[in-house]
Amino acid sequence: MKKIIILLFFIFLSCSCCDYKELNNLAIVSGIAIDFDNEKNNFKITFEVLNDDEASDNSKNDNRAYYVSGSGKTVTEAFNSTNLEISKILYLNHVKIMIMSEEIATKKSNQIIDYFIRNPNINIMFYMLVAKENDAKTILKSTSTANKVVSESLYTMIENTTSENLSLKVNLEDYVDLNVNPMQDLYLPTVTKKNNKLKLEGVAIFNNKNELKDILSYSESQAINILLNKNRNAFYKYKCSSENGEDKYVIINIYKQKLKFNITNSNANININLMARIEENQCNYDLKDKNNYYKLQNKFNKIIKKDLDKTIETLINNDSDVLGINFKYYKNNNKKLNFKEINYNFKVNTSINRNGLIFEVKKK
Amino acid sequence: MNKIIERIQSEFNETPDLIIRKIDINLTKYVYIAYLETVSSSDKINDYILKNLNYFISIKKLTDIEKIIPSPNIKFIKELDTLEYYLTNGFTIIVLKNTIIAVETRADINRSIPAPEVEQALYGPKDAFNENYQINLGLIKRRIKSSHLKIKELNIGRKSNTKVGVIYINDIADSKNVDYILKILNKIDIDAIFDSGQLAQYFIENKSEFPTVTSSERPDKISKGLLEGKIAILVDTSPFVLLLPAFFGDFINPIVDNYNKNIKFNALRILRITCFFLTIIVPGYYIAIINYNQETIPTSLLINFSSQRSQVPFPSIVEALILLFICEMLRESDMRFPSSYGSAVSILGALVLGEAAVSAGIVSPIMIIIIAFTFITSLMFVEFEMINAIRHFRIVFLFFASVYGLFGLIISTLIFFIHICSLKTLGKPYFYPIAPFNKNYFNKTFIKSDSTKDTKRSNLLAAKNITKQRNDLL
Repeated sequence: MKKIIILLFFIFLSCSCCDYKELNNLAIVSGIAIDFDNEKNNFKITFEVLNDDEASDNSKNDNRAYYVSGSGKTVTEAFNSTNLEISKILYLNHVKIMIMSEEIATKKSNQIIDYFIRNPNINIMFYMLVAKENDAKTILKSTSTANKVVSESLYTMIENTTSENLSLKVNLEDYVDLNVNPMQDLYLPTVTKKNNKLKLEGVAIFNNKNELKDILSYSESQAINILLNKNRNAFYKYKCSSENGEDKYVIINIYKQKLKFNITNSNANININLMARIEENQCNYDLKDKNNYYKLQNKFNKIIKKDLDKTIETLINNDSDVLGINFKYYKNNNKKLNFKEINYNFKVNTSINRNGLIFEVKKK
Repeated sequence: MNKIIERIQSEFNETPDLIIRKIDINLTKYVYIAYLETVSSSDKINDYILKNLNYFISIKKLTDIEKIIPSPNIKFIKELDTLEYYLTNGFTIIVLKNTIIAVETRADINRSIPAPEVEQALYGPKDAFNENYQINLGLIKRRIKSSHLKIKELNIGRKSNTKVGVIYINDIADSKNVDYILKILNKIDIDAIFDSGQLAQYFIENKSEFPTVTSSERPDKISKGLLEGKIAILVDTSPFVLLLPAFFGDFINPIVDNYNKNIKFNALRILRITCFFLTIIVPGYYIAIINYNQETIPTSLLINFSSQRSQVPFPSIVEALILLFICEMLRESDMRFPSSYGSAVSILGALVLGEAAVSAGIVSPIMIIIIAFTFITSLMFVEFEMINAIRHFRIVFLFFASVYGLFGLIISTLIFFIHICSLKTLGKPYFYPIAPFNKNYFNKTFIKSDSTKDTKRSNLLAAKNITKQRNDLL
């Protein structure tokens, strides 16, 4: 009994109710926007807080979220200043989205990451985005009848994006991984506001100093997805004819892929096997003929290879090794080599799915 | 007057139901008849004794009386001290000169064999024990027709003189256990025993909330236990029979599962085991995640919880304790109140809990769901002491969760397992079929195996005769 009392005594001493938080005292933050004010040299933080007021249960009520802002010379000051505007404790374990302005992404991302890594009371699984052509705050505050909570809409958008293979899912953990690895550069998805609507844009690429260098186009973003082996649903089109000024296309959907990097002696051989199915056949190719398949496969191999070559060129021009070529080379050869000095040879092998189709048997 | 009769009169003075009659057989011979009117049957006295008094004239030896009286139970009494026992047990005492004969003329003051009330079941036998020792014994013997079924009888209680029988099957049960039980029973020196529940307390080795003795009103459950090598204790005037030793697994699933053909019944058994742990953990878990580990709740649910909680002025632990108190109060009042008023209590309870408490802002709707869930899951267990144990550990879990969150829940889970693993019943580990693991007994208590594979008894209980079914025929 004595032992139990002593044990209990020490348990009570060694930890306390310091983590105790009554639920109705919490302000649940769903989204964070971070901007940088160049004039005042200030960080500007905006939180999207979910409204847990009883009245908000009513679905007719539009105020499902409200916003709290703060600013400061440092990230910590900016975060702390937001507390002055709100009576509840800001709770960051349910953050779903963090949007950084281009300014922050270009110059100040290291300070932001440092703050987040050191804060134990923050969820690390939220997605990170760069606001293109807009302030992060503007993006976060662009509520509409369809998006009552912007962070939730953006989160679902990134989770469900299948039609355009643009966004890469990058959460804080991935971001930190990329950040601490000196041989691989950062990449982030981007979001913009056009005609009062939110839209996901191409992938933002960073250089070795974590500075934003460029935002890739749709086709380049798609190629990056393939090269990072994160392709979910890529589409490629081949212009097969042009009649009376009207272009006609064959469109394929790549649903599965296998990627193999082989880097030796400044030569990178990259084998890509792609599984695809035909989405549209405007030129009326006879799909019961095997030869047509082979023809189409060859065409698409060339198209995709061209895209990949172009993307690599863009990366080299921007000095952005988002593919981690440096790291791959170092792992294989135990030597350092700049990814710009490597010759890239792509070997694309597209196989279009023929399963389920009946081929006509030609009688002799 | 005869000295024996005088002694009876002096012992039973101020006992108005004592009847003593002097009956002349002829001019020289007479007999005294003494009985207690309240426990004896006048019809039996008339049939067995009074109608046959004429034949007493022709007796040559006193032992011939046995042939004359047609009662099934006649005893020649040699010690006067036992007179009290026989009279109070419904025997009629015949005193002929210096010979005392006790003839059983017990009145039938029993109720008929009832249906089980506590351990109700859809299938299986519908008879239950009543307050009569002989009938209860008969119900067991009807199921085990074997001479190996042994009964050791003794009387406990200075005033009540209650008959207690220790029943076991001598070629299965461990004789050490029988001796141990008899040793404890012989040590008991008490005024009176009215129910088997009183005896059960003498077999509790550890100060624990968990029951270490099964108490059942179903003869089939007791018989099955005896065949497993357990020992039953039958107490006169008690409709509950004790079964020792009892393990944790015995309290989770009822015996009626065995009468069900479908082996898929195991889903239900797993449900019961799950519910046992849920009913203990759920309130604590809710308190832990709502106060400490909010990140584990999906965001939309968290917002709902938060908006519901915003109207309640108390901390969630106080809210939980208020509701638990109300529920325990309702359960207790429902149990004590006559059943005809039962529905009124339920309606009042439902109104108080369901509607008024929420609109008054005392508790949140989600807390009502949590506590209602906790209670509904606990209703699966009928053993009163098991319910007590569940309640005890529920509070322990709640306490630790309210102080340390999920970490506290882990501490309390450890306490629960350490406690239950350290318990003993008749010197055997209480958490038995699980720790130490025994496949045989596990398949009988937790997860039911196919009846054709149930060929062995558990070697922890049965000392000998381990095989109970031939399996080469199937």
